[in-house]
Amino acid sequence: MIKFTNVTKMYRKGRVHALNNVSLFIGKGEFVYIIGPTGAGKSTFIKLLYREEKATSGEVEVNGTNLSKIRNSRVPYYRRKIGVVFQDYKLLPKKTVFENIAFALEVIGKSPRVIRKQVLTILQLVGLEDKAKAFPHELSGGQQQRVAIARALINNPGVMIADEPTGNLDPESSKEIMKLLEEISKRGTTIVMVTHDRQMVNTYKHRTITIESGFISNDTMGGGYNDNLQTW
Amino acid sequence: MIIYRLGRHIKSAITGIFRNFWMSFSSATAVAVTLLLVALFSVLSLNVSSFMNNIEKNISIRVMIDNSYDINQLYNAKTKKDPFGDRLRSIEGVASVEFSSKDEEFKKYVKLTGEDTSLYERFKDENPMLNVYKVTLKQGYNDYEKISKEIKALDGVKDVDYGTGGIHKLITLFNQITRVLVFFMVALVLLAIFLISNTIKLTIYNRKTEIQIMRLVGASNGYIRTPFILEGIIIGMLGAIIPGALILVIYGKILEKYSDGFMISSSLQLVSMHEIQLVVLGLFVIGGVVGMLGSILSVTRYLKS
Repeated sequence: MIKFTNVTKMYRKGRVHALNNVSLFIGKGEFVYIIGPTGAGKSTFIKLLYREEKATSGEVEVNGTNLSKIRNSRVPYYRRKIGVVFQDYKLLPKKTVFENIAFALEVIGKSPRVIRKQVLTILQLVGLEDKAKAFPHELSGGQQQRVAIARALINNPGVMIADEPTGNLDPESSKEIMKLLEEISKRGTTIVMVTHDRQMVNTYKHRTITIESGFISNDTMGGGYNDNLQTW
Repeated sequence: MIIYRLGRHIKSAITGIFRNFWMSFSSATAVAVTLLLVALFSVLSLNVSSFMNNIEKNISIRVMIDNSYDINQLYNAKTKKDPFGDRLRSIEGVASVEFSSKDEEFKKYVKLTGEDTSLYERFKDENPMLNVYKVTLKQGYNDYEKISKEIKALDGVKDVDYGTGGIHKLITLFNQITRVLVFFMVALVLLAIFLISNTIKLTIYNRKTEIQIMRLVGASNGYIRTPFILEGIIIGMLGAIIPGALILVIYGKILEKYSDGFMISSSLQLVSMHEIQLVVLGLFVIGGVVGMLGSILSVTRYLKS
C-alpha cells in the first residue's frame, strides 16, 4: 500500500520543483506503471518511495510506514521491507550470482545456512538455479536483471520498485522480465515500475500514472499510454 | 550472527588495504614516523622526569631563623613542642619539616670543613650559625620560589635558601622543550589522521557500487561503516609495529650497556623495560585511535551524502 498526500519535493532550496502537491493511492498487490518525459519527476517519485529523498512537504506512506517521519537511522530497516531494481542491474561484478543475492542477506546479518536456503529458493523462482556460480559478465542482460530482481525479492518485500528494468534489454528479454514481474505482483507484492517503453505499457496493461512537470497529468486504470479513463 | 559479521568485516577491511596498497602503505608510514617521534619523546621524557624526581627528592628549602626570634616558638627536643615547625607544615605542598639547631649546624659545618672538632668547643659561645628548618616538598610540587616566598613572609625568618638554581633552570627548560615537542606531535598526529582519512576515502570510492547496493538492500549505517573503520585501525596499528619494535630493541640494548646507572651513577637510573613496554602498548593504542579517527572522518562525510 502506497499513499502520497499533497507531496511536494523541491530541490536547491525551492528553485526546482520536482513534484508539486501530488496525491495518490496504490493498493496492495497493484501493478503500476509510472510514465512521463525525462525530467518530469519520475525519478524523484521513486526516490521518495525508497526514501533516498525526503518530501519537502506532504506525507509519503508505504505499507504503514510514514516516510516523512522515520529517522535516518531507521531507513535501512525500512529498506529491508522493499525491493529496488534498476536499469543497470547494479550487480557486483566480482561476485557470483549466488554471492550477489546472498550479499543482501549478509548485510542484514543472516547466517550462512539461512542464506543458502533462501538464495537457492529465490533462484528457482527467477529460473536461474543453474547459474548460481556464474559471474554477471557471463550472463545476458535479461539474466542479469533477473538476478537483480531475485536480490530485490530475497527479503519478501511488500513493495517492489523498478526503475526502467527493461531499459537496457532487447524485446525478448523485456518480455521475460515483464512476465516475472507480473508473477511477483500476483503473489501480492505491489509493483511500481518506471518505464519509457510505450509498447510494453500497451501490451501488458496495468494502471498507468503519467507524471509531467511535477504533476500527475494522467492516471488510467487498465493501461494504455494515451487513454484517459480516469484523471486525478 | 556477530561472528559472521565480524568475519565479513575483517575480510573486507583487509581487502580494502590491499586494493589501495600504496595509499595504505604511505598512511601507515606516516603513522610510523609520528609514533617513532612519540616513542622517542616518551622514553626520553620518562627518563628525564625520573631523573628530576630523584634530584628533587634531595632538594630542600633551608629556612634560617633570626636569632632575635623567640626560642620557645622553635622545636624543643624535651617537650617535643614545635609551634614554628607546625606553621611550616601547614603550608600547602610541604612534605616534611626537620629542625636543626644552631649548635648542630655549627657541628656539621666544622665537620664539613674537616677542621679539628675542638674548634667547636672553642667557639661554641660565638656560634655564627643560625637555627635552621629543613623543608622538603611533596612530589609534584616544584614551585620552590613561590613556597619560599611564603615561608620568608613568616615571622622570625631571616632568610630562605632553596638549592642550586641550576636544577630549577633545567626543569623549566625541560618543560619548555616538552611544550614544543607536544606541539610537533599534535601536528604530526593530525597529518596522520588526514592521510588515513584520504586512504579510506579512496577505498570508499573503490567500493562505491558495493556501498550503494548495501544501502539499497538495507544494511545499517553501522554495518557499512565497520569495515572502513577496521581498515583505519589496522593501518594505524601497522604503523605502530616498526617504532614499537625499534624502541624495544634499542632501549633493551641501552639498558644492557648502562645497567648500573649512567653518568651520575645513582641518580640517573634508567627507567626499567617494564615501563617501556607500556609505552609500546601506548603506541599501538595511539595508532589504532588515529586510524579510527581518520576513517570516521571520511566515512561520516560519505554516508551523509
